Amino acid sequence: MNRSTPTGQITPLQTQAIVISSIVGIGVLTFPTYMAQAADSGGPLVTLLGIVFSCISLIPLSLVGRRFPKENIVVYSGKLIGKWPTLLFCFTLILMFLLVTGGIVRETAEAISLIVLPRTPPEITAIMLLSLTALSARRNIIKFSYIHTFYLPFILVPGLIILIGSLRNADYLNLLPFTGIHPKNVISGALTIMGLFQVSFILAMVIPHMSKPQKALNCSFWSIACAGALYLFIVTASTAVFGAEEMKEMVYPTLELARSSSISVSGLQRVDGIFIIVWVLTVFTTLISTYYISLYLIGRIFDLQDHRMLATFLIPFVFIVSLIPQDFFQLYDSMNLISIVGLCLTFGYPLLLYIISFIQKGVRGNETTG
Amino acid sequence: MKRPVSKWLLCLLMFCTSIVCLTGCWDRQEIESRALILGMAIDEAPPSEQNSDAHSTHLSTPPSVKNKLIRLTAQIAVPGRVPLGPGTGGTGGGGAGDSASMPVWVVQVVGHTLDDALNNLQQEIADPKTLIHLRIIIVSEAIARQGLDDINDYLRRNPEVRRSTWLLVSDVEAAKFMNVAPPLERVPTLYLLGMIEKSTEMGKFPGDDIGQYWSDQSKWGQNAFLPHISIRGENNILIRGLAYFRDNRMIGATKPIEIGVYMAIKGMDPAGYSALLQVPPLGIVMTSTMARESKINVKIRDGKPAATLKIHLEARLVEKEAEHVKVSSPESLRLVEERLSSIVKESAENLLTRLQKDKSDIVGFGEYVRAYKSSFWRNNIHEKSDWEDLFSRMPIEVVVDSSVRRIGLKND
Repeated sequence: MNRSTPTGQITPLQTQAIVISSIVGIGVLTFPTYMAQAADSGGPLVTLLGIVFSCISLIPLSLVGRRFPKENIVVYSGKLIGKWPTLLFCFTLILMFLLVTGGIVRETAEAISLIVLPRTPPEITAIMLLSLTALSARRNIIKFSYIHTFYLPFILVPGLIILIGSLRNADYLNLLPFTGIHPKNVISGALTIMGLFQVSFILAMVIPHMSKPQKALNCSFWSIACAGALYLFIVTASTAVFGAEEMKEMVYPTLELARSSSISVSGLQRVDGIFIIVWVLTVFTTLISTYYISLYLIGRIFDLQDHRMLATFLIPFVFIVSLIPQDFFQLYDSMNLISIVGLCLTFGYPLLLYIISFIQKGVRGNETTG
Repeated sequence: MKRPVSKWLLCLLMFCTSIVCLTGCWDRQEIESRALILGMAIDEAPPSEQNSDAHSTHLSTPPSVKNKLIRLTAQIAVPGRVPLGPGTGGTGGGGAGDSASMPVWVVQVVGHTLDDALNNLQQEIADPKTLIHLRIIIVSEAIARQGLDDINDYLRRNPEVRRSTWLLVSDVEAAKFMNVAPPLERVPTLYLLGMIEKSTEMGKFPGDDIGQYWSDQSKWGQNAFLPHISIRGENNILIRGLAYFRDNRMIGATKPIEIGVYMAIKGMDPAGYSALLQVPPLGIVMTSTMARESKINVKIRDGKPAATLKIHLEARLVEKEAEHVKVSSPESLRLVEERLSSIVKESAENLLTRLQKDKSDIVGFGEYVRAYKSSFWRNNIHEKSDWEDLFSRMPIEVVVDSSVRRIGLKND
């Protein structure tokens, strides 16, 4: 292999850090609203369902990655389903993750300009965020894993403290009944969660570089569980504090939660500033993952030495993507659409690979025995 | 060969953009050059001001709001005059009329909606207005009875407004509160804020900021309420009860002691109200409530909801009027307890009957039904008014018991 892709150096803990900080991202700000719309007070249960689904959806990816521990997804997919289908899938994935990157950049820029920097043009925020992402995503996968491992505590610890601080206004009644009164859109709610969790596809890039690829399944399970616990905590806290009906009217329920939180022990009356910083970090770690997936796949398809140039030259493309949505509703509708389409890819593609590898192995096994 | 060039290019790009962004040029805000609105009062515009619309947002008034004109009185902090520590400067008490030394500036404008009025306000003042320090909004009862939909919509949408802002209803002209200058605090709004917040800490008022109001308002099984305030004398502010709402419209108000009754129904601690009781052999006795506890049970009886409300009060005896009768035995304390329980039961029933008549469930019995009898709720409640109707006809059984264990330092 070439020098920029050393194999077998990422520890299971780093793998988990990558997956967790990739999953915890932009959606944190808005998803409780979708959960409340899906099943009012049953929001936490819908979230749990989504987490379980996400956990299951990562199984084929982990298993097929485990079967080809030393090869990246482009190589083993080429072996399994042939060159052209692989290219088709990979290019769709690349396109999708570039679109997701652009969408996230836009959502972040919009939120920042609404909440903290009203006069700064959102485009400037977007360019800054993108440049930062591109600069970090230029590194090889080992450094990429360091970045994630470094930022993870800065995301989880303050996030949890802020959430705990908000619980003093919680009302247990708001969480009842657990199943919700009108659980109309349970499946679409669970799909929303899966959509937010699909950045865990980054696992496919990490497995070939793990020191113990056999632990991939274990890692994916624990990272989804950990990130899921945070999501579950957020949706439970906001449902308990605001009540489901109130949440339906909010654009950023988690921000409102942070604004109503106060940590009296430390004398901090307002912690929304800290929350915004933490949230920008979570967005950043998600962004470098989505961008990295695209870069990595392109790099492997064209067998590039490294993807540094690519990281720079894709910035304008992603930036233009981020400019496409014309208004608030278009932005969120198109993001939801992309995430549903993405789900078919990030779940369906590994599943296809796994089934075919399973069949092939079966056939080969029969040949050797028979 | 190529990489260093791209690196340089990228560095240059980063450098240029960071010059623009990191300094915060766009969002640089000098604290002195901002008009910090601390408090607002919203009244109906009196007839004399019907024609003073500044027309800063529209040329011709749309017919639907033609007759709806509100008057906004805003209290703007004057930079540099807001005292930071206690008792700096020697203005002393009663400086209400002395506008030169006032740390706040009171501006009055009219408008058809809240934002329209705020725009008219901006048209009159030099510095950009900002609501990030808005702590108190007072609306007059007339406005509250017409409905707070548009006001709430604006406040919910505006990212500068905190959910911990207080929305209050006043039974007199709301603008008066912007000029009230009690001697204890030189910024009127901060005095009012301190008053509300301290009464929450003392158990005299439930924590009911605008965020809580919105949450209650959104719930299908609960109606919202707001603090109801008034002015006594020149400069004294009185918390006179709860203004309760239905459908974002104020429909009634309670007496001050009924705040205590409401808090007892909800079991809110700390308890802060005292009760004056006529206990037959003992004469007039004052008890002070120390802790409240309550339990609400809902049942579905014959397809109709019914509630049982159990209240327990921990009180202590603080005053007895008649010198010759002694409180010297457990039995006499039992008498006080019985009397206290029956008084609280009576007042709770009284309050609940009135709320039922007005179809305003500020206790949130509906939330209990929704939480514990969800199948009933699912089948019968299809919009908020369904519950309001059911609530008005719901039998509520009130059971109160109380303990009086302590009598203070006097031994009889």
